[in-house]
Amino acid sequence: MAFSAFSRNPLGHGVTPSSPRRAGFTLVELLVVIAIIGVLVGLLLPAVQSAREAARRMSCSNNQKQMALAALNHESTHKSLPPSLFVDMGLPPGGAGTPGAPYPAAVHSWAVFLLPYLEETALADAYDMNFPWFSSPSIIPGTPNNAAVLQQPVASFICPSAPGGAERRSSGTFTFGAPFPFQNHAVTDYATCSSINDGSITFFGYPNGLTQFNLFSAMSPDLRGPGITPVLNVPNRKPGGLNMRDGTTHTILLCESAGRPDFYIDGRLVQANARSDGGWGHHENDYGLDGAVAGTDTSPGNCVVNCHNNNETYAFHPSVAIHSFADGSVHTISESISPQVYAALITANGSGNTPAETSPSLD
Amino acid sequence: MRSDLHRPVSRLPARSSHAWPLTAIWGLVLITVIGCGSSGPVRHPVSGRVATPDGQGCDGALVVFHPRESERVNDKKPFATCEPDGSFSLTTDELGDGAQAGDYGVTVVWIRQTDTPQKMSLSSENSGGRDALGGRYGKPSSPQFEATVTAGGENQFEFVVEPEA
Repeated sequence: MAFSAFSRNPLGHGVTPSSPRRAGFTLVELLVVIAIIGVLVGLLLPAVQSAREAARRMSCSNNQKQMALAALNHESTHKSLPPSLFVDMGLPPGGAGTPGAPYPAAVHSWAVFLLPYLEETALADAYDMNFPWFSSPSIIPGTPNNAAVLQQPVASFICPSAPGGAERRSSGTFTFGAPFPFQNHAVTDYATCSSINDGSITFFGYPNGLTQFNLFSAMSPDLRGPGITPVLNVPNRKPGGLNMRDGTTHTILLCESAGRPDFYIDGRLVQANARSDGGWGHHENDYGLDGAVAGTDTSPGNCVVNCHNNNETYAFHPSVAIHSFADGSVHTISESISPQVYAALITANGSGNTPAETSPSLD
Repeated sequence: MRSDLHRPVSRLPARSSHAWPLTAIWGLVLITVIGCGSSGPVRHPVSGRVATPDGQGCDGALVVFHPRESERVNDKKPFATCEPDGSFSLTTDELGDGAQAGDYGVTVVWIRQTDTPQKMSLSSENSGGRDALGGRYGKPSSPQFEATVTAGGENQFEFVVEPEA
């Protein structure tokens, strides 16, 4: 109204109140304006969402950096990288005076080894390394309450891109000779991808006859004690340092396996609370690469990044997952990476076994 | 006078504002169709059977086709897990989508699922086991079988493997 009045009377004299017929916008004008605003909001909303995801991704990759530096600090202190999982088992398992007794063994995840280097000394002091992670006085009276320590969320272990944040809890039972139930353990969205699983070795182009023990990653199992070989049917071994044959820049340290304890396939929530291995203190927070058939959790397969979070690499960042490397660097790896190149980046000493092992590139 | 002035002005933008979103929508549809039209290499259905010399199917054997052309060595590998009767159909991305045309070296590994039930195990993941073929057919760099997948061909392959004594 004011606009039309001024345009017809630029000098503003002799203005009379305009007639009621000119007193507003027509319906069409209004609809056009609404449509334009709608289009602009429609353009802006995804941009705002992706800016939010970019911020979360940065925080997520910062966590990886902190953990990678923690692992390297562990290496300079102990001359070996932290184990992907730790088992010390005597013979007979759980016998008087054997490691972890009265539990069958002392079993730990990689995460507890990083605690002292992540400013989490309070948690590290409360966790008793002489007893397994599932140790709890409610299972065997008088044993330390490691389970209670693992119920505390650790901010560095959570990727903000994963739905549920630090509220997620994982419960279940680990059967190891006997059932050991655990409740409400705080989760992590990161995991060690410590090898290529035996059943998928030829799929990734490695000669049959190699086992996952030949194809471990930078962080690998620490299996000690006289009970390991007779009971678990695997050799004793210690994790190595940074002298891997493939080089530190070509070896992955930590992967993402985000969203646990909920089970996701290809961005779709398949089942809530289905995965019991998401707790940061759970030793199964470590997996071997199998790959998957697209849209399923059938292995092996050519889908190696962001297919599902049942013991495979999975992240909630569009098209990529964040990985830290043994040189302390952090990189995103695309969903479209060649499966053989991804396998080559996981192995620490795979040089010469496949064409992809010759200088695997992220591009 | 006033209404004469008003009408054409209000009608003209009204018509163009109807036409503009329509054009934009058609444009988006066109871009989508062009963008999603042809994606990735063409794959051809490949099937076959893995059996022992006496005709027994290798239930659960893993068949992997390793591309031979040097520029394709890091490509996705078509593979299959054999059915109880030993038959298979290759998968590259999605179940049964087949393989790209080309030359392949073929490996076969047969880990029987019934082998070595572990009394105590640290992991719920598949722990593998012993290859019933003794690893003779499982070397991608010197494969025992070769296969050529062609665009118009039958693409049926039969592999006879001798289990380890």
